[in-house]
Amino acid sequence: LKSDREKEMSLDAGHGDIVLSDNGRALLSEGVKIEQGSLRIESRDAEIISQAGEIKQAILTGSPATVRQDLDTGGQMQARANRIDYDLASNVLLLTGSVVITQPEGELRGERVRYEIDTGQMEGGAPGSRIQMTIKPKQKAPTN
Amino acid sequence: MTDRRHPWLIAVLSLAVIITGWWAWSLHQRELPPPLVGPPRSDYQIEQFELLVFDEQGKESFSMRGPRLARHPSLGTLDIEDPRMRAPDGEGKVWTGRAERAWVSRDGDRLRLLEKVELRGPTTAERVPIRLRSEQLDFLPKADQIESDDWVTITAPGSILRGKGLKAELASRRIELLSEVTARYEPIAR
Repeated sequence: LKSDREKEMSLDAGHGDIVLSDNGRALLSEGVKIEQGSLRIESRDAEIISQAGEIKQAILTGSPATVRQDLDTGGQMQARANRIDYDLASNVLLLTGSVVITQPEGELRGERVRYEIDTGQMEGGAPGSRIQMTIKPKQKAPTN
Repeated sequence: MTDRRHPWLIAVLSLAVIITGWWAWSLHQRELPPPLVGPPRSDYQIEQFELLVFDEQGKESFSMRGPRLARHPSLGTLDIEDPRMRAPDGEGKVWTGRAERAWVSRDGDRLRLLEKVELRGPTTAERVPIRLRSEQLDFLPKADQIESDDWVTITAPGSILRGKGLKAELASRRIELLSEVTARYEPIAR
């Protein structure tokens, strides 16, 4: 949901190695969960980068790292990848490595996909790799 | 006549002796001071003290003040009530701490703050103010580190971190939370 980014972000991990300064960094490990509104991210490890006391980026690596989020248009987006870069300033997810994104309209697979959370717009493809898209047929209106 | 009354008289008198004896014994028990429990008497105590501890190079390790300090006669450790602590980190910036109690090791290389511990980092242009709260926090001046085996909550502008077990370097502000880590970050201002 677009409103997710105005929500507090909470993180949960087994271990934390944090540098607490204005431009700090936190390495979280042993199972990481991030929640922000309806956005749910889970991974093995996470690097949280902050600037001027605010989180700017979260880099999640896992086996795989997974993302779930409710859509303003209804339904839910689910994604998994070996690595997820969440840029909080621009509200964009960059998924790389065995990427699978599932939405009500269909599914997209590839090695590199850029996903805009606000609009749901996706841009995929990387040199030497192709993307596969599966679009579900529109449900026919029942004829009586 | 006297023969018949004689045994009764003995019985009454011996009853009286028993009662007064028991009464005297119970009074005596009540006056006994309670047995001494706890550390042996300290070899000295200081009221309203200020303590400055220096390392081998003569550099200030930490200073502490409080209402009462007692030195353990054989261990050479210090027990302190209601301590207020100041300690320079590796860059000379001062951290301040307070607690209900404190304990200082014999050679001053470990200072343990206990119960309602609060430690505040220096606030400077490039350092955001941070505050650590716990029930136990050890300060190791030589190593410029702090440690805890207990739950620690760390508050900084825009974030609250919490975990069980901590190791931290004061100068670099690198903090390791050893288990059950949670973090809350305020949303980015748009």
